[in-house]
Amino acid sequence: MSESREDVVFFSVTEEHKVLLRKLAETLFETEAGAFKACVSLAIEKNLEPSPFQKGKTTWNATTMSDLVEFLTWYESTKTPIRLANELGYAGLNYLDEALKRNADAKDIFFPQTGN
Amino acid sequence: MRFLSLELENWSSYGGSGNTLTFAKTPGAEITVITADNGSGKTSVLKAFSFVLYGSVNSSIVRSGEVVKLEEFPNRPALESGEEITTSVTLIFEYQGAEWKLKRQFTAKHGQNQNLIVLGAVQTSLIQVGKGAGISTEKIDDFINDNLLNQQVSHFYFFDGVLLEEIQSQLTRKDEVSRKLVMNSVENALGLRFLDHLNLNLKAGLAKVDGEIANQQKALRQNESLLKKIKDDEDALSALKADVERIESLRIVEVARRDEHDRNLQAIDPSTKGKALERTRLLEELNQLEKESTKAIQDIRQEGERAWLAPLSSRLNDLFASKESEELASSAVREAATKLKVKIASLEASFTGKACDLCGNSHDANELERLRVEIEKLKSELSQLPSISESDDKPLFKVSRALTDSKRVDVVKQAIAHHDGILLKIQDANRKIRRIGDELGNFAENIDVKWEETQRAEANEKILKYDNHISEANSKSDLLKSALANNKAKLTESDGVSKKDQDARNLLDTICLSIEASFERFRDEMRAQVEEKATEYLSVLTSQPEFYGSVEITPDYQIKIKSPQGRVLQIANAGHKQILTTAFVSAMAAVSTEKTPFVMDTALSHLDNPNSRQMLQWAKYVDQQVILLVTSKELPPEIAQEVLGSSIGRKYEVHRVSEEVSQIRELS
Repeated sequence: MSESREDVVFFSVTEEHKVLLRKLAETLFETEAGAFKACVSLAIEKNLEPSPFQKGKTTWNATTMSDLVEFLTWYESTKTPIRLANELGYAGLNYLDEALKRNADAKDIFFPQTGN
Repeated sequence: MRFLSLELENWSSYGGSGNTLTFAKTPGAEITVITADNGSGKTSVLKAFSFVLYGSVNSSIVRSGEVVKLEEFPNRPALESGEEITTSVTLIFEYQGAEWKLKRQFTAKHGQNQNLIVLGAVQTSLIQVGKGAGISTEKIDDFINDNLLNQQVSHFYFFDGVLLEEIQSQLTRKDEVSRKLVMNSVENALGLRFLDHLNLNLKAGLAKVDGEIANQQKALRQNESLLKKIKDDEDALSALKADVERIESLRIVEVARRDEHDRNLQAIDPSTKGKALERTRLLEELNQLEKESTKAIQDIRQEGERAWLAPLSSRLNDLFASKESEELASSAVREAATKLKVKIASLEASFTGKACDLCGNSHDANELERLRVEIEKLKSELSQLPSISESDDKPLFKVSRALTDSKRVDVVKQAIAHHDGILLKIQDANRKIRRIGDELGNFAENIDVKWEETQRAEANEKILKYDNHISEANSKSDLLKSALANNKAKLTESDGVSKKDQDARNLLDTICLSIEASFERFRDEMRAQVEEKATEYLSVLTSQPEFYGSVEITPDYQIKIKSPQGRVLQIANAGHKQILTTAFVSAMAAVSTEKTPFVMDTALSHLDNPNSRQMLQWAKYVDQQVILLVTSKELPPEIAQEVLGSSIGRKYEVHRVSEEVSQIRELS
């Protein structure tokens, strides 16, 4: 984890993840930001290890993601919530990418029907 | 004009009918002498002439204060009976070789206080004797004034001594009114009035022709207006025709289109048609499902956006449940501790109450001991209660909202399930469409029954619209054709001002201009004639011919007498004035186009003997009808005989029977 380091300012995703987010924003979420937040949630749910922060194309600032920042601060008791969000988001997106490649359905991953 | 007779009925002192004066008319013996004493009815005869000719008993020159009323003339003895009486004057005269009978009459009766009342209007008639032809009543006055003697100058012909003096005075006055009267009398006597009248008539004729020309021009203008309307209507008709042709060509296209789709539809067998229709229905259903799918995806995205914590919802629910149970346990411990503390406090208060107020020791040792043990026990229980950690670990507002929204995961799931259902339906519809497509084969690609029907219906609708349009255009065309026919019928045959009217107008215009141009020349010539005759009569009338040279009438109609040397003489002497007047009057009579009789009432009374004789000489000299109303004193019979001799054609004597009754007797 990255408690000893300072927090970052922006949220970044890779080009590949950006494409993935765009697809999600066309089917399950209204915005790519909403999809990213859901990926962070997914990473926590799946207990994924936060991937090292990789600086990519800057996408959102902290204000846009203030609810996510507040959540991580509260839930993970972290002082670098943005860095953590980037790392968890990266992990979640990777997980999703892999799942989709296995012909999984994104809606079953994010919103599994009862009994699944 | 010659007067033939004058008949008086109930006129003034001439009661009843049969009071007739027949006048001398034989050339050379045209003087009629009527002798009567003063008050016997001479002036009534003079007034009778005025009344019968002009309907008025007043002279054209009204002497100051002398206005005579018609009511004075009905015969009073005839009115005594109290009945209405008819008063009339009848003048028979000769004019242009024919005899005319002019009669004016009115009805009168006694009113209250013995005053006389004239009933109704004066009735007038003028007929040609023997032929019965008459002049219509409304034209009689114009006929008399224009052809016989204008009333404005009648005082030169019908006068008494007093009026003669007025004439004398007028002739020598220089004021505008007097000169105008002289001018009128000269022009009237010389027929210039006739020219004037002719000119007026010609102008009236000219106005009439102008009116006719104006009517023709108006008709032309109306024609122009009608022609414009006709052209406009014809243009509108052409436009309508073009419009109808255009619409008809469009209609032909639509009819072909309708027929084509009709043929297409007829070519499809019922089974194929049914399948094709089912396919169309399924396609429509599919279209609707796709819209629903889009909407469902929209709902999923909207709810999914809010439920970004959905993957954690289960874990978060457990977390909240755990926190809730912890809270409940803490709450129970807090409640037990509170209760123990309250109890300990109460026991400690009791323990203090049992101690002596003075020494502090209890007087009941057992009881004190029991309280102490009890307090110790409770304190031990209190210390054994679990400790409570007071945490402020509460999520912030935005997190709270996100957590709340995460609970909407079920809504997202419902939306997804709904969308999945739609997708199944879409798959089903597609499967069916494919199956029908397989059954119809290639033909299916070319068949769309509904489209064919829609096309046919659209074509039919347009055909109906075009039919209505054509029908309306045809109705408008019919109206325009009717208007065209009416307007063409209204066109007059006249295509311009007729040559005949134009020629008449030009001729009349030329004549009027000619008369107007020569009027002044005529006037000068005629004035010269009057001057010449007046000079001639002056030499006859005066007893001092060497004293007078000539009479001059200036262009502005001032009358002057000049000495033989050409010097203008100032006329102050009454006798001289009389001579000048007589010369002027007789000069006019001599040059008149139509001779007018002279009626002179006591014209000699103001003259001395020599001048009376001169006047009589004049009467003889003028060689025209003269009616002399004289008193026997004014003109003694022997003088009359001596001076006039055979010139007297008729002699009458009016005898006064009583104050209001006169009788006429002809003398041999």
